[in-house]
Amino acid sequence: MPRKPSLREIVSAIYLDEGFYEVHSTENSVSVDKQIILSDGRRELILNILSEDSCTSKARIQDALIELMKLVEKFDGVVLAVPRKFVRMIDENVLAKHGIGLVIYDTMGAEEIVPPRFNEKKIKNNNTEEIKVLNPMQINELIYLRSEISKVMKILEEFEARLDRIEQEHRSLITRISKLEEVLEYVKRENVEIAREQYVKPSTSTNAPQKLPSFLLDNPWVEILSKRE
Amino acid sequence: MLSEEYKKMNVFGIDYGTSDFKYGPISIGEVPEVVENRGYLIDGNSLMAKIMGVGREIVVGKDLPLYLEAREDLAERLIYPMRNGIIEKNDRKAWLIIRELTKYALESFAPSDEEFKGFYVVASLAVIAPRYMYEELFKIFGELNIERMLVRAATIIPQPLAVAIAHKTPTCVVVESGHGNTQVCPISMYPIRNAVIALNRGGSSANILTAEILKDCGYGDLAKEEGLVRKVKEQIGLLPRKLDEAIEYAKKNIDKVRVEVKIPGTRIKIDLGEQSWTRFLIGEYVFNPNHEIFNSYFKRGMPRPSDVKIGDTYFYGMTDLAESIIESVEKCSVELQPHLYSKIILSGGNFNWRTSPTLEGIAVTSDRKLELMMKEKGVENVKVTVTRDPTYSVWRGCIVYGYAVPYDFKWRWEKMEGWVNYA
Repeated sequence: MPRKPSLREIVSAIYLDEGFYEVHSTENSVSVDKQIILSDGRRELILNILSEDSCTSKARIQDALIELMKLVEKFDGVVLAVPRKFVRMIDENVLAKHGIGLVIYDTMGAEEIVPPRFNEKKIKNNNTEEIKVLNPMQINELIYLRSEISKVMKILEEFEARLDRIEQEHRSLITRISKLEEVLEYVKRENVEIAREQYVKPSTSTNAPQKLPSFLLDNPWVEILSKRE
Repeated sequence: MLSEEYKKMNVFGIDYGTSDFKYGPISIGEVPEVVENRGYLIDGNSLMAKIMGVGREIVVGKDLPLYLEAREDLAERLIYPMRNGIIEKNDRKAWLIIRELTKYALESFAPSDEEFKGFYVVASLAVIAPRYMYEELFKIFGELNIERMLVRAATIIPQPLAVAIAHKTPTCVVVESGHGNTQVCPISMYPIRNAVIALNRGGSSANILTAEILKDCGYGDLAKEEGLVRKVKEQIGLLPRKLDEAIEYAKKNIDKVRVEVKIPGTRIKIDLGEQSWTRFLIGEYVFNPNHEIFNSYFKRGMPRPSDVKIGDTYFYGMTDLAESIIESVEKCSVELQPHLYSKIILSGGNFNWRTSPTLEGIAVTSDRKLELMMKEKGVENVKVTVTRDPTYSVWRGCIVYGYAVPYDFKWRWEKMEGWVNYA
């Protein structure tokens, strides 16, 4: 069965298609639920994802927006991703005015409503600094390598998750087998007991009981009554 | 193959209970078939009878509700023949219903193969059933064989003996409380018939009190429906450890005793509100109707359980349960008495009172209540048990009895035991 794509994968897919690769991701941010730092080698973009639960709190949204304003200074591009059904809570014009991108998502996929405005001055400075150290061939090679490493990291993460699931299934199977072994042992013991119990002989009559009901077994009255004469 | 072996394979138990009729052969397993102990007398001239092509006079069993007609006719035509455990000798309608129910039960299980030569039927009646009921029932078994051999041999045992057998206890006191009465019967291998005490109180008495409580709480319209009152009783009734203490506690802690009862399938909700303390009266009334608080109900017209004589038996109305057990046990030999007190079995739905952890020490179960009552009267070392499956105990006892008693043990009226042979 194919694995259901994660929220992170759905949202970041937009920028991965544009040549960005994942540099770092965290769930430890106090203002948003997930933060993913993407890079295309030249620019660094921070993607901030708010979950449905967070969007139900107005304070949480405001907190996230303030945090985004701070990030504008640190990164070349800042993007906010919110669930499709909460898009009305965000004024896209305000975000556009401050250069913050807006992505909406649901389980089917993600859509970029407002593209982020990249900080050209900062990019220029960065480029200049890099140019000082590296020539264009080396720069391209570096970008390519970073992109490949990001892909390998993703594959590794996926393997790790799969291994986790296999280990979990393995543990569950061990528990089930041990329970079945207990039941088997009990059934074996019971069969021996039943064989020891007194059976009524089989008869052609359709009313013939196969074994005695529990209230007849070990009943002292059977002996008392059988002596009535 | 008409031998001990054949008998063991063809034992058939029938419990003529006051509300339910339980039946089935040994081969059915742990649980018998159950239908209501009632019959409907069909009006042959009615349109319904003509449309449905009903050619019989009486309908019993699981299909009975399909034949019920107008509500006003029910009281006259829908008959519960054993409501107080005894049928009058000349009550033709009641005996016809018993005959039809017995036939219905036996035909449901009679195999069609040629080797089948009739069941060994063990029927069970109230311990206070008079001799003519035994005679009438044996006559019915014989008549059923006219069309086809259904009953090879039959015997009748008292219900308390069947309960003791089902609970694997040869020496005990069985207290069997049905719809209309309560029987106290000491048993030591045999039922000790001259020590039997019968009370003119049962589940119906608690129903009557519940109806009065409902009236007082503004549910007078609901109090008229017996089935509904019984359901409410089962839901709200509590058995107090000590009635006075329980009432005082309930009045101070209304929230802990207040309960809202929803009748399934209806919009009816019942809430006793400030009167929730009356929940304790329902259980107490079954065990001891002598508390002065019940006088207010008697004064307002609720019938006081009276002493009556039915057949040869006196049914006491107001004797409390512990007193009646002591009276019964004291009719037995002194040597036997401690053994009887150490095994008291309570059987019947009338002893299934609810408790809740929030009412610990205030509301108790039937066994605990009776042990306390006995202790107050100076009887020590009492051990009371409530039957696990009260509905099936008697039938199970019938099956064990038929299985164990030798097939050639002939019926004797002086002992009221043995098989009446119809071969």
